[in-house]
Amino acid sequence: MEQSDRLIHFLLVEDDDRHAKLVIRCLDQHRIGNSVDRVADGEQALTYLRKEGEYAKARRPDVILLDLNLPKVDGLEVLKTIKADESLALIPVVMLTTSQQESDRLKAYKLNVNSYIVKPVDFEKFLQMVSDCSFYWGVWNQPAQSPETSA
Amino acid sequence: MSYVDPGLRRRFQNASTTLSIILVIFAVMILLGWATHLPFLTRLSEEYVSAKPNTAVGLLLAGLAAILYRFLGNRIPMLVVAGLMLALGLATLLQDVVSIDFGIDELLFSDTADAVDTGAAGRMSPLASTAFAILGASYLVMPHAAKLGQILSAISGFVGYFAFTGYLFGISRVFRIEAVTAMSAHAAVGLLLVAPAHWFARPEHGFARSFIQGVASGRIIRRLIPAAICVPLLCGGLVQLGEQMEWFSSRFGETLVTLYTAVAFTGLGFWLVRVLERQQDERRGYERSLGRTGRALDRKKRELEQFAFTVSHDLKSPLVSVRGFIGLMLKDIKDGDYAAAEDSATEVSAAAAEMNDIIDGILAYSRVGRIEEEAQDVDVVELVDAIVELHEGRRAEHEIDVVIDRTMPNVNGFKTSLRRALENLYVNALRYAAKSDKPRIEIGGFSIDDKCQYYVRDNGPGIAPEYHDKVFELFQRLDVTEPGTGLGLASVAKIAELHQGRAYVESKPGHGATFILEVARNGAELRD
Repeated sequence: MEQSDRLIHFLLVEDDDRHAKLVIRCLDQHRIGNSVDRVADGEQALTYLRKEGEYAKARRPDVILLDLNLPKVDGLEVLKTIKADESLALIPVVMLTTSQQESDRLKAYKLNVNSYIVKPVDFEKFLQMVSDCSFYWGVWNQPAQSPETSA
Repeated sequence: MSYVDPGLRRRFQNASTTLSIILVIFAVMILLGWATHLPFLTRLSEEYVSAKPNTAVGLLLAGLAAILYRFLGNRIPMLVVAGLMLALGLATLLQDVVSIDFGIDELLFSDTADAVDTGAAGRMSPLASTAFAILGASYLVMPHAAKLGQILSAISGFVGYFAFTGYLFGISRVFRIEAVTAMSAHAAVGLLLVAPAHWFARPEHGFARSFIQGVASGRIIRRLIPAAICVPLLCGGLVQLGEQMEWFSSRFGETLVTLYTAVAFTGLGFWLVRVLERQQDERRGYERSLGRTGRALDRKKRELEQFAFTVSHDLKSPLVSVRGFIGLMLKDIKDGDYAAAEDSATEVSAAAAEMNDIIDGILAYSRVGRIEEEAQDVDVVELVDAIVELHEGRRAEHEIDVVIDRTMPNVNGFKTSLRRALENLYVNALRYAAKSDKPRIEIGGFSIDDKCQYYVRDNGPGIAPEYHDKVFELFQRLDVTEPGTGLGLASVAKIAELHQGRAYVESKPGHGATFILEVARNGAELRD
């Protein structure tokens, strides 16, 4: 299968229902061949990625869209755990947040985030952002040797 | 830095004026002695030199100058008196130097025929005339150079001290220069007083300021200087007396002087250390309380920063939704997909409502503790009944069993705030009890010592221990599937703090949660 034809699978970690819905609808709009699973907090995100409990049959995501401020386990903590886990470290993580604090951005980059994007209030920008990062991280920048593609 | 103590300043000024009055009386006494030919008023005995009339005039001027300086400051009257003093001293001195008689020595009274140790009839000793000249100058320079003035007056004071010591030790004749008058005992005593009278008439100036500081340095100098002046005099005098009375030899006397010097320095050393230590203790106390205040301020500042940050973040979040869904809606309309457009409109409306809730919550939160409310006796049972009544619809909808302990103690506090706290806890409990099969809420309270504890217990899903503190923080929401702004429990915590208490939760996941509001039982002294 050609990589660009693959169905890109997103994991969206977002506590705000409306933001989640917005991102999912934007992905739909752009008809990026995709499927999206959404979890609402950091703890669930880790459970999902480790395929534990109710997520035993979860598909390994090609891109993770991660909110910064999350209940239970916050975004930076999730990021740290992902990047410290050899089997997950290669999945591109895009931090999606409303925080414009420089310290948050620096922390995220220190933890090897692949991209850090401040949620724009302007809708067109938002659309562009979601489409950009799905193309960039989902199509062009897929790690060559992720376990599922080689399987 | 100046730590001038106004009370001390006044006391020193009064001391100065007392010394000045003594000087004036003393001078008048000597003049009376001359006027009435009563020699006992002017000299110690026949063997000693008498205090000359002009010496009395000098002492009178010195007393007057200090009084005028205190009450009128650097004005003409003081300067005139000081000028006269300077003129008197210089003229008399000049007579001794160039051996001319201006006729000023016997201007007032003629000297007695039996005068001893007298260079020229009626003329005061050159030491005394020098002292008066210097003292006159010291007052004259005060407007421009207070410190110089004080040094000058101290010099004339030490001239008196020198002569006084001589009399005390019985060696005044040793210092007598042939052909000039020796200093009289009266002049010596008088000159002893002129320096403190001058220094402390206005002690806020120059070196004198050190004496009126209400801190350790002031305490030290107030004891040290009198001790430095009096102790050697006293000890020396006693040794001298012992030698004269032949209690012991002069060698032994010298040994005693050595001993008293050692003892005095040792004692002084310990005393100084004690003063400094006390000062240090005081400062440490201040520093500690300052540290506490600083830390409290830091905490408030961090809270404020957190507040601003979370407010902006939490308001921005629904704003992103509003603009996002409006954008989608426009697209939907263009595409003719009105069902989708309607859905987007619903989301916009909900997001706007969320913003409204957040703003209301922020207002309510910021109002905690700022409403002008008097502490009053609050019937908590009545309050709880009203709250339960208000949310009856919600309770009935989920068939929640609410049990109220009617023995709850009353409390003295701010009624509106307490009501909001209990209402927030109850609404919170309603929300989570509803998730249980047999939902149940218990509300109760009891008093421990000077505190009252009220609890609201639900049998909902409970809270894991690591979130027990977090739930009371601003904008922290554990369960985002439930409505809420993340301000309710933060308000409860703030209200508890306002009542000198705290709010906390006891819970195990799966076993419900008990929220406790602890407040001071007596609110009378809450607002201090």
